[in-house]
Amino acid sequence: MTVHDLLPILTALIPLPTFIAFALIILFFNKWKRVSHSIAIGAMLLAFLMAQVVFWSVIAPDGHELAEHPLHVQIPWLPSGAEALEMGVLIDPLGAFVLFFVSITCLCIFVYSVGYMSEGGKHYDPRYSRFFAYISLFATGMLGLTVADNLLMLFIFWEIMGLCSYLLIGFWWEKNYPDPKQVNPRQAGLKAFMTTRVGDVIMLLGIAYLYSATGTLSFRELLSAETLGILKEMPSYIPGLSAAALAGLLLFGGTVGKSAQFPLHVWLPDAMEGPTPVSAMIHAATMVSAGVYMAVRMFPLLQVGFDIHHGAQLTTPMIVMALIGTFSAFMAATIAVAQDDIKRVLAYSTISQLAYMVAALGIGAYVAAAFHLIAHAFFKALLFLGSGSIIVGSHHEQDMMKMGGLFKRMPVTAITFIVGGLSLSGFPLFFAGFWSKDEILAVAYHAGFNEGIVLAVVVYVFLALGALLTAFYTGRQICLTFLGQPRSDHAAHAHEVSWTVYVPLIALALFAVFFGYIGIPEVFPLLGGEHSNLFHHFVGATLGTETLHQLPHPEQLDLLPFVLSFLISPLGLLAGYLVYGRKPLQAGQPDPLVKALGPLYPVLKNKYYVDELYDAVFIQPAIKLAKWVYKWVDRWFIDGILHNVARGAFGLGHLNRRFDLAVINGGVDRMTDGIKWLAQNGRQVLQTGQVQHYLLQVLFFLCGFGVLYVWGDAILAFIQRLLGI
Amino acid sequence: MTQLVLFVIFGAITLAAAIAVVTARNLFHAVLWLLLAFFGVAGLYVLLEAPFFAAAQLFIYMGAIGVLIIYALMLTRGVMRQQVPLVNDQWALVAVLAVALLAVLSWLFLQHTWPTVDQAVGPDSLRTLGEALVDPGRYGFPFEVASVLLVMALIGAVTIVRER
Amino acid sequence: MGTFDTSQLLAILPQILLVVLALIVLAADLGTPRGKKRSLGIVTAVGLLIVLIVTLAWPETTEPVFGGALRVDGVGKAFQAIFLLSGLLVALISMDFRPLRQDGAYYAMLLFSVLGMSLMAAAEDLVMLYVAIEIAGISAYVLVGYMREDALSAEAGVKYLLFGAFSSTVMVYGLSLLYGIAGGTGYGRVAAVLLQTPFQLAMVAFLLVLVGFGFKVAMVPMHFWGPDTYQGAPTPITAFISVASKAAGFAVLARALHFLFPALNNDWPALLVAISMVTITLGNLLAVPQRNIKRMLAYSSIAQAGYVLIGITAGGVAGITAVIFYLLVYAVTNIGAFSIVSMVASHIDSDDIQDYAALSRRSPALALAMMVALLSLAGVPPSGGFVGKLFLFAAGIKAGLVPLVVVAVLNVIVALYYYLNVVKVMYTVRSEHEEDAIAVPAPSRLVLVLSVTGVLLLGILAAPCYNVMSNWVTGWFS
Repeated sequence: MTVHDLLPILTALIPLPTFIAFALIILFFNKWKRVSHSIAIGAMLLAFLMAQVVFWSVIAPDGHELAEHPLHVQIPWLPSGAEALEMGVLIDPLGAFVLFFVSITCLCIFVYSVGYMSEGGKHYDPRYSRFFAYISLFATGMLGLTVADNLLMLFIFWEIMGLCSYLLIGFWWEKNYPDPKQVNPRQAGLKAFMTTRVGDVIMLLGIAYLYSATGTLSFRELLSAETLGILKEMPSYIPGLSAAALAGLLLFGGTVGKSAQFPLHVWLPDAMEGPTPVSAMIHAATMVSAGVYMAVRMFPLLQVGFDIHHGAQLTTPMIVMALIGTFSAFMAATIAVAQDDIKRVLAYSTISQLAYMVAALGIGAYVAAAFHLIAHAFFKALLFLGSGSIIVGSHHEQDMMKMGGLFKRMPVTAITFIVGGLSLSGFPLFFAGFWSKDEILAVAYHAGFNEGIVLAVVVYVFLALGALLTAFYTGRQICLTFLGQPRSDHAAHAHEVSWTVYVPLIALALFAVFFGYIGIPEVFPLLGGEHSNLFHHFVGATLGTETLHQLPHPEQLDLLPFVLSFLISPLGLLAGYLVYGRKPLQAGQPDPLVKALGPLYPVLKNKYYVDELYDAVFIQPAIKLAKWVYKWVDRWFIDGILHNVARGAFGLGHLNRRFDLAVINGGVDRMTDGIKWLAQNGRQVLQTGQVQHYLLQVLFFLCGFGVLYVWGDAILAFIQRLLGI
Repeated sequence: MTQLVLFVIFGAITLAAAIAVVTARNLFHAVLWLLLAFFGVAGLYVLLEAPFFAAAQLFIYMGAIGVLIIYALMLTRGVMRQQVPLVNDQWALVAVLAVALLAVLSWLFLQHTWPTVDQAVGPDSLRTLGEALVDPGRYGFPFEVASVLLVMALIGAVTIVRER
Repeated sequence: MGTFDTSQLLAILPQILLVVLALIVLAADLGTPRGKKRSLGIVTAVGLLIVLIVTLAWPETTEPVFGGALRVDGVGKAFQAIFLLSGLLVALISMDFRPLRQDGAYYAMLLFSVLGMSLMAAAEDLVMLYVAIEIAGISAYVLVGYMREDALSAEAGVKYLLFGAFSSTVMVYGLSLLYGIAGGTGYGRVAAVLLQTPFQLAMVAFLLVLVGFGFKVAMVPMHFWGPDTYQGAPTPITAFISVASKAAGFAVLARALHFLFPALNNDWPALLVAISMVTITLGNLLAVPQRNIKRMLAYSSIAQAGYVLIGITAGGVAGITAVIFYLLVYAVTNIGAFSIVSMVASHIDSDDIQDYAALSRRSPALALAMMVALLSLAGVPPSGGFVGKLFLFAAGIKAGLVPLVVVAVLNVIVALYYYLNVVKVMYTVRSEHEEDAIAVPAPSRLVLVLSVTGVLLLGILAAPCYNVMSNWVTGWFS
């Protein structure tokens, strides 16, 4: 047995340490805060090391070897009929990279949480230990989901994360706001749970449907050419849709919920009520990415029937994804422009960036989506952690309108945050966000204008516009936060928190810069070369070639998108600077956008009134219906019947009473006494405590059965004769 | 003919003694009746041409076990003098059930033709028995295990009754 | 006289080791000072562990040994492992049961009982079967009445003895009938003759034998001794007879149905289905009003026996494997539950469910372990109890026992009520003794850890265990 044979087992062990940490903290160490965080970080470090060992062992310039022989081990788990449901782990090139970024971001956020939840060691949160227990469990969920080799296991870990998300969003459940319209943590947790549940149920339907159609949930079997071929031909319940398309659509429902895509995006901004490390880990880097990861994983299923060389037909799921992704990306970017809460801007930005990936998948840009997934995780985690540092440093101030001038007071946070912001806006050449976003745009342009897919043209235009908006609101955010003079006392007394907070920031900042260099397109001038796009060669191999109709990569440089992508980000940032940076806002001064956008501003500020719409369309009618059912069906109809029956019975009873009193009083009394006695001693009639009674009963049954078996037929015949049958 | 007469005599002794065992009001008397019942069984063994069993019955049951019971009774004087009630409130029901069981079993016995050996028991039956008990291919192993059972029962009995 | 093949001794090596171990414990008792006798429990546990390893490591044989007295096949081995494991865990919790006087004879009796059971599991001869049952039985009578000064324990011992003696007598009557019919005592021979015997005679013999087996299993109507004996016996012994003794009963029942009574293959299922239905329902219903936790667990264990009967009745590889799997889960679970009862009783001298109030605050670990055990007994995923019930019910459905399975499933819901009631008391009811933590000595802690991990592992890694057991069982059907 070589080291390589041990790797699958090592992979299977990755989710374990954090789970043990969760159990240990919850059960035994919840009274000792420092011990708790040591256990959690120790476990995460162990998981991180194992993940890195696995990653660096399998990484290679060419991913085909790993794609054909992935790390894979499985055991039969639940015998169900002839086939056993199997559980196992699978690491293919895609999984390897996801494992890589998940372990890094989780570790960074664990370390960061020490500083954040204790405010730099000064003031420990009363539920500090519980926090570490929850995030440990969460890490288990995410790591487990990454290594899962089948949909069922993926779903289980997916739900574990959902639970943790609920628990952590509502972590400060006792918090209430004076404004009743403002969502408090308790409501936010519930909202997140209920909203994602909608998606999860749809996804579970998809899983059940796939299982009933194919009899397997294992990725390798499910996504094999053979199975996909069968699914492609199999008609579904809905005319015009193949089984593959229906299953793909249902599964995509899960992505919509988990990755907060329109129309289920409403929970994510409110989820910002949770502690900031939670926002960073769960609601930016890992859990919401899991939704996209699942879509990427299931891409072969989603694209069944898509053949670029023969007419380039997008499949139904792909069209849906492209539309939802494009719309969500653009919509969220516009909303982000008008938000004042530093975390809410990032939340909408997250929705928008995730939507880029969904849209990319929708037009077949598999590798680009995966690439952006990872790059985004790094820079968005960085931005969230930076915002958390700012929040703690400036005494829990979240309103950007009350910040300003923090650059001097929190230099490390400021520099790393700006790095993250530039990466997010896709600032050319130096930042990971540029390479990943450029890849999506380039592919979309190529598909739209060179391959003639009309939908891709729409995708390209809106994503490009969205990129411009992204750069603008990033510029706005940086200017409002760091430039000018402090607009409140809190901001004036801001300071760096502690090393546990800014060391993770620096680590993530490095990835936000350098990660992009492993994915430079071959056709890129100067920097591009035959081996420059390592990521594409490695991850792109995941799907093999037989079934995959991935969009071919552009073979030559398209000039227009190339130039545009160089221009979009600086232009947007410049616009942001011109509005907010050149003449910094003063305390109390309104946002210049209010005037500039006119009637559009309230729409954006209020997030297109989607929450209000849902309230009016779903929530209020549901409450009304419940009240109606309660009033008429329950109270009037059912209770009415009962009451009338009771009234009738009472009447009868009164009549009876006279009869009773006169006639059978004595007899009834005796009977009630008997029943009372039976109730009291009923149990004791059989179980008297006397052995002889027990033995008698045994003997009775013995004789009874003996007579029955020996003379049963004779007795039966005798009775029949007696009755004359 | 003689055999039949003897069988009736021994059978009657056994049955009568057995009935007396359960009806005797004095426990000591009951034990004495029990010894008589053992004797009747020994007589039946003789009739079955099983002299070894008959002897074992006399020595072990009438001798050892009987003496042991009497010895135990003597040690617990209180019980010896006591006139214990013989029946409890469910005797009638039990009688009915016992009769029913007897009826079922007797009917079955009469219905079935039981396998018999037609030749007489050989002179070396004792030897055969002894060999069967120690032959590992026959009852050697259960025999050994029975010895473990006895040791265990001995230890258990001592443990339960010894002074603490 | 036949030649003796010494290799036969190897087949009973575990049993030989058990006898040796019992004698070692008895001898060590002499050399151990009065206050230190608790350590004999460790000797017992370690010895049982060694025997367990030997048993599992030894290849099973399909050939009978000792002239057909024993057949140590896969099924026998699986049951032996369950008894040894139960004995091991019970020895450990006995060490911490304060009302019990520690001495060598106690542990020796425990070992003898395990010995008897392990012979029961492999016996294929009427004489062997009877001797084995008596070894297991007599030692259990002694153990139940071991706390002679305690009136309840003494009474429990006497009741158990009387009931046991009665059922044993009836069983011997059945065995002698079988011998009379067949003129031999080996299962194979009896079974062959029974095929030509009138149905009524065979059935009555079966009924008589079933009384003896049913007593061990505690199935209705041979269940009456259960609650009284469970309540009075020393708690570790309650755990032992509720698990090991029951499993031994099932071992002989399964083997007898398969090898001794194939002639009645069309007749006994109806009887067992009826018994199983009544056992499950009665056990669960009577458990509901209990206030004493040992009595509640007693009725619950009657109901559990009913569930296992489903697998016995279903038969086949699926049925027997499910029985073995379930009994293993049940052993780990129930001993875990009783170990907590034992610790609580040692500390507060009460078995009332009311006195478990606020256990979650007094000793969170104990409350958690108890909850895991109760949820497994109730059959809540992901516990082993859930998977075990699933296997039993699946086997039942496959064998066409749908009404029985429906009754069982309905009963699972009833059962949930009284199991969760204890959880409710532990977690939500407040008590004035919340500061008074309950001591958990090291051996009991080990049992708790083994029990909880066992319950969860068997639930999560059900398939590998199931496959191993299934391989052992297939020997019977190939």
